[in-house]
Formats: sequence, structure tokens, C-alpha cells
Amino acid sequence: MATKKTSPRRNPMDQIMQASAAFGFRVYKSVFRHSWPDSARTRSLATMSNVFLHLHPTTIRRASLKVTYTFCLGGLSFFFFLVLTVSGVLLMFYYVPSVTQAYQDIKDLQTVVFAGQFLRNMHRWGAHAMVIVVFLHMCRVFYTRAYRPPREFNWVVGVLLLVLTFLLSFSGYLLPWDQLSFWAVTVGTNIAKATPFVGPEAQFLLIGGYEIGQNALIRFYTLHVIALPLAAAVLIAVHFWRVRKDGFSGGL
Amino acid sequence: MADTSQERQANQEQAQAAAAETNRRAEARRRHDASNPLDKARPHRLLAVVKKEAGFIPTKEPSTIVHVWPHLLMIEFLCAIVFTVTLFITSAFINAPLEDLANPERTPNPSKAPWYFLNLQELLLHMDGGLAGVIVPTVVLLLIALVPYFDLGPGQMGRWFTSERGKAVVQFSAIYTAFWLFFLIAFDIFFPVKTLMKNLFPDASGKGILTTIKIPIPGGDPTYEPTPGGMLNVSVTPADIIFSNWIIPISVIFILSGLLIFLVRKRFNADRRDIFQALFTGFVVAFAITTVVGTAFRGYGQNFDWLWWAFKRPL
Amino acid sequence: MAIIYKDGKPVVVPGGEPGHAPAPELEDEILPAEDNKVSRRKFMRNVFLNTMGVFTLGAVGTFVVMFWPKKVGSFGSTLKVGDVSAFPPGTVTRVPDGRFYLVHTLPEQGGGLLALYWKCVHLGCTVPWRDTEEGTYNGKTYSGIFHCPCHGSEYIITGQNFAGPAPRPLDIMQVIVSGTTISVNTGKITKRDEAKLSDQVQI
Repeated sequence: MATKKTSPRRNPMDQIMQASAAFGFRVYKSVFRHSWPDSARTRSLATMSNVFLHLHPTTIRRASLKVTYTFCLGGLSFFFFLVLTVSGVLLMFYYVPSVTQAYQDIKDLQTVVFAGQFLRNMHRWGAHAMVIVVFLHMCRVFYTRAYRPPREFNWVVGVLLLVLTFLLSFSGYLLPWDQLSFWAVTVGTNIAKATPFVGPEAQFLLIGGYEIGQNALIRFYTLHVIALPLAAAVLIAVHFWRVRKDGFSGGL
Repeated sequence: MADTSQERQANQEQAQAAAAETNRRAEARRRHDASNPLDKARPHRLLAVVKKEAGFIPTKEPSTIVHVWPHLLMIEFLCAIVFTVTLFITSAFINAPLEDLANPERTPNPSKAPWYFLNLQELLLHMDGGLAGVIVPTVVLLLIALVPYFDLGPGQMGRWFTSERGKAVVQFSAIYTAFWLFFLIAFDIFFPVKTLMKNLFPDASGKGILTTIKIPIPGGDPTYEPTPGGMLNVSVTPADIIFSNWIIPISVIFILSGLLIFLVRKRFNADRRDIFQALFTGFVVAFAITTVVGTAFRGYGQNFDWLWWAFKRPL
Repeated sequence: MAIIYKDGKPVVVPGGEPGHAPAPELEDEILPAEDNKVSRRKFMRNVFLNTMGVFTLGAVGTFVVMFWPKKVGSFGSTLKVGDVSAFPPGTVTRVPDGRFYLVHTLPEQGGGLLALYWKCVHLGCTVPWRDTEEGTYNGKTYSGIFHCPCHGSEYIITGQNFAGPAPRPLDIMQVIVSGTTISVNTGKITKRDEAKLSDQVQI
């Protein structure tokens, strides 16, 4: 009853504005649960209450921020992994892994599909960059001796991720089905043939036959778009988790 | 009544056991923390955010500790932006290569693997395929993976090259490896070891003596002799090939690695960490040089070619 | 409860409910004069959020355009069907690429060309041509009818429905005759209430 006559000056437009602002604020709160992080409390909450940012601790030693220590290489490896995932998914919409169609699909990507050439370029250069960045990341971790206990196993996971990066890049190399990819993969899988004792069998298993053909294409495709990325994602999760638990190695 | 007193006693014992366990864990944790310099270096850690009434809130945080938002996230964000823009510009101006449709009947010369395998393809020219393509990379990767389990000596982490001495060792190893690698590649180009071995100690007919000795090797490359087979995939291989493809390359790897260890110990009084750094640098430099040589300096028939640059063949 | 603006942010404050003090009247705080001054931090935040917004919009827009297929199958485009002589009167020819039947009716049925979209107007099944079956429409008997296997709709050669649940005749596609070549625009499908002579394209 006390509110019967709240304000003679309040006009309906203001009321609508206020109500929608309040609603917007409620929605914002439901998503982020705290206001923009500009106090110690909200900054801690920002990292703690967000599943993506939660990969980080809430606070960090100032010395660990030195860019010339990490050169952001680990983060960049993940960045390229994400770039390749997104561009790869987009390319998959227009690519059929068939020896009769694959090459034409790449041609169409370059000529018919909007931004197809750009996406393909991004995927290719990103893949090369990822190989380089992952390798450099390994060098960085080695030279700063960041594998010291308790981080031994995470170093092993990192080596496995390096191998996976090579395999991801190599399996993708065949997919355009042009002379370049065909012969590069022929040469590459011939290396597997040289394995002692089981060489020919290893190559036979890998390419699904005696020479690169439809079987090899579908094998490489499935490995490239599902099996290897899944394995990489799992190992990346383990890798990050251990980094998070063991803390940053730098700035001691 | 008897039941309840028994129960009470059991409960008490349980509680005592739980308390003892908690104490034991706390003690173990304390010992672990004390033994781990890392945990000492991080004086506090955020576990939860509580309401103001519920606890003590320090008014000031230690000055060496900063919030991840925005300090670290800003760096990560800027890094992501820089590389996104770079990748966008690269992708807008440089097109990914696409050659003619794959044709199994027409092999381009030279045929090359993707560039990051050209180091192996380069090794392949100097030794047995199984050694270069499978054994060497597998052993190298295994050794790299095992490093932290053997690098247990004293000294800190979190510093590039660990020490000034480490830095000097790395520089020395880089120069040492580069020198030997260029020398070895050049040697094999001008005096092919395979030919040398084939013509070593010629007999009356001018045939090298090693070519006449044939040794069965299990698991070997069956291309040398038309009668491979058996459970162990035995191939009868001439001795000159065993020398040029197996014994000499393996010996060179071991001797040069051993010499490197000897030199850094003698010259720099290197400890175990420095030796690992020297060997790892050897690997990195060898990886880089063989990749560059295999990509840019191998032309027609995989022959050495000064002018066969990387961009002659798309990546 | 009431919403007031404090430092430019909406804040929920108690008051206004029955039994409580009236809600504070702070309309003047909706746009305080100080808010016109934007601090550096706020400016950076706005730059950050707007950049992310523009980037996201650009990415989504690019994706939508990229996702819009440009090269689709022959259905939907104009198909060359063949020469007039290949379709004598009284024939019904299946053209699977275009999802239609090219019909050349007998003179007493109109004597023109029709492209009947083969999708049943009832529930969308593909309607087969049965030249052994008969049907009666308007007192005339037709030998050969379209008979839908799903729910039994029946149509005579002109596409006119005469039995079953179909609500209207089969849809037609635009037939283009240039010289002696017949083309069908499979992208232009017309619904009709009744099969008329004017639907047929005379040669």
C-alpha cells in the first residue's frame, strides 16, 4: 500500500528502460554470476567460475608472466589446434573422401565455395605452423628444464602430443588427392615399410593395401578427422590438467 | 545396552582411526611440501571465495602474486590476436598448393614426403631404410621421453639453459653438431660410403672383397637377396651393404655422441644436465639441418643440388 | 525491490514491497553527469568487447555465406530433357534427375506437353506411373494412371486427381520449348486447383 504513489515524475519509457536493463543484468548474472572483473574478488571469480578460464589458476606469480620465458608456445600450440579444428570442420562440409570426388571437391572449395580457398589456406598454413610451434614448445620445456619432478609424466604426454601432431599433419596431407599428396604419402608410408621384421605388414595395415588407393584415403581421412583429434584432445586435457595441478615452472 | 556400548566403542575407535589418518596425511603433506621447493615458493593458493562475514579477507595480496585475469589473460589474448591476424593475412595472400590429380602412373622426380619427414628421408640416403626411418626416430623419441627420469641431479629449473655453463654447452653442441653434420653429408656426397665399401680391397677381378661375403640378417631389408623369408624374415645381405648401411652409420652416431659428451665434460666440466642439454641440442640441430637439406638441397633423383630450393616444390 | 542505477550499473535495492519503505526515487541517477566521462579502463573494455563482437559477427556471417550451397544437384535448375521427337503423344517419360514425368498428352486430352512433379500432393511420396491400370474421371476412362502406393491417391495422365486423399492435381513444372528442344525448369513448381488445358505447352 505504501507504494501506491511512488513517483509522479517516472514516465513509462523510463520504466521500460529500467525493467529491460534489470532483465539484461539478470541474464548477464545468470551467465557470469559476477560483475565485470575489476576487483580482487570478481577477478578471482572470473577465473574460478568459468570452465574455460578455469584452466588457469586464479593468481600467478608475477615472474611467471615473463613472455621471454614461455614465448606463449604451449598456448600457441593449443591455439593452432583450435584453429585447425574449426577450419577443418568447415572444410569437411564440402569434402568427400573418395578417389573420384576428393580432388574435384578441393577444386570446388577453391573456386565455388565462398571463402573456401581462404579456409583451405588457413588449414594448411595453420597445420605447418602447429608442427613448428609444438616442436619449439618441446625445445622450450627442455631448455628451461621444466620437466623436473613432479612433471616427468607430463613431459611424456607432451612427447606423445608431438608424435600425434606429426601424424595429424601427415594423415591430412593425402586428402587433396593431387600429385603432391599422393606421392608424398607414398614416400612417407614407404618409410613404414622399412620397419624391421614387420615392415611390409605395417605398411599394408596403414594404407589398407599394397599401394595408395581408396582404402588408404578413407583410412587417412578417418584418422585425420576423428581418431587422431580425439586422441589429441584427450592428451591435451591431461597435459593441461597436470600443468594446472603442478603449477607454472617459470619464475622461480 | 551391551550393543550400544559396543557400538559406542566401535564408533570411538573409528573416530580415532580417522583422526590418526588425517594427522598422518597432514604430516605427509607437510613433509612433501617441505621437500618440494615449488610449494614453498607459492605461499598461498585460492581454494574458494567466501562471503565477507564468513572469513578473514586479506586487504592486500602479496605483491609478487597477481591475478590471472587480467594479467595473464591479456598476454594470451594479445598473442592469439597477433597470430590470428598473421594467419589471416598469410591465408589471404598465399594459396595452399594443389597440383594435378593424383596419378599412380606418373611419379614426379624427386618425390618427397611432407617437409617434417624430410629429415628422415635425408637420413635414408645415408643408411638402411629401417634404421633411418624407424629405428633412429623411435629410439630418439624414447630417449627424449625418458630424459626427466634420468635428469635427477641438483640444480634449479625454470631458467633457460639452467646456468651460464649450460648456455655455453648448448652453443658448443650446436656448432659441433652442425660442423659434423655438414661434414658427414658432404663426405657422403663426394665419397659415397656405399661405393667405398663396395670397392674396398678389390680382388683380382676388381670386385670388392666385402661384396663376396654374404650374411643372413633377421628382419633385414628383403630387397638385397631374392630369398627372404622364414619367421624372422631373414635376408641374405652382402657385407659391404651391412657396413655402409648399418655398422658405419651406427658407429658414427655413437662415436660422435660419445665424443660430444667427452668434450663437454672436459671443456666445460659439464654435469649430467649439461650432457643432456648437449645431446638434445645435437638432436635439434641435426633435425633442423637434415630437414633443410632434405627440403631445399635435394633435387632430381635426390641428388644434392645447390639451387633446388624449397619453393620449387610446394609444401 | 527496486532497480536503481549506481555508478552507471543497475543495482537491486530493497524497498517498494508492501510493509517496506517506499522505493528510493533515484531517477536522476539513471544518467549521472559523470557517466559522460569514460575512464581508460572502461574504454579498453568497450574496445575489447566490441572487437570480439565484430569478429564473432564476421565469423558467423562468413560461415553462413560459406554454408549456403552453390553447387547443388540438377534438381532445382533447368534441365534439358531432349528432342520433341523422343516424346510422341500418349507417352509418359520418367526423368529421375528432375524428379518429374514428362507427359505428352493425346490430342483429345489436350495434345500438349506437361512436366508433372512426381511428389504426391498428399504426403509427398513418389508417385509411380501405372500404364496397366485404369481410371475414370468426368465419365471418361483413361488407361494408365498415376497411383500413389502410400495412401492410394490416383491421378489421370494430366495430373488431375480422381481418387484417394490427394487434395489437388499433381504439381507442374515449367516446360520450355525452344526449337525442337524441350527443357524443364525444375526450380519453378506450380500448384493448381484443377488440371486445365492451358497448363499444357503446345508444340
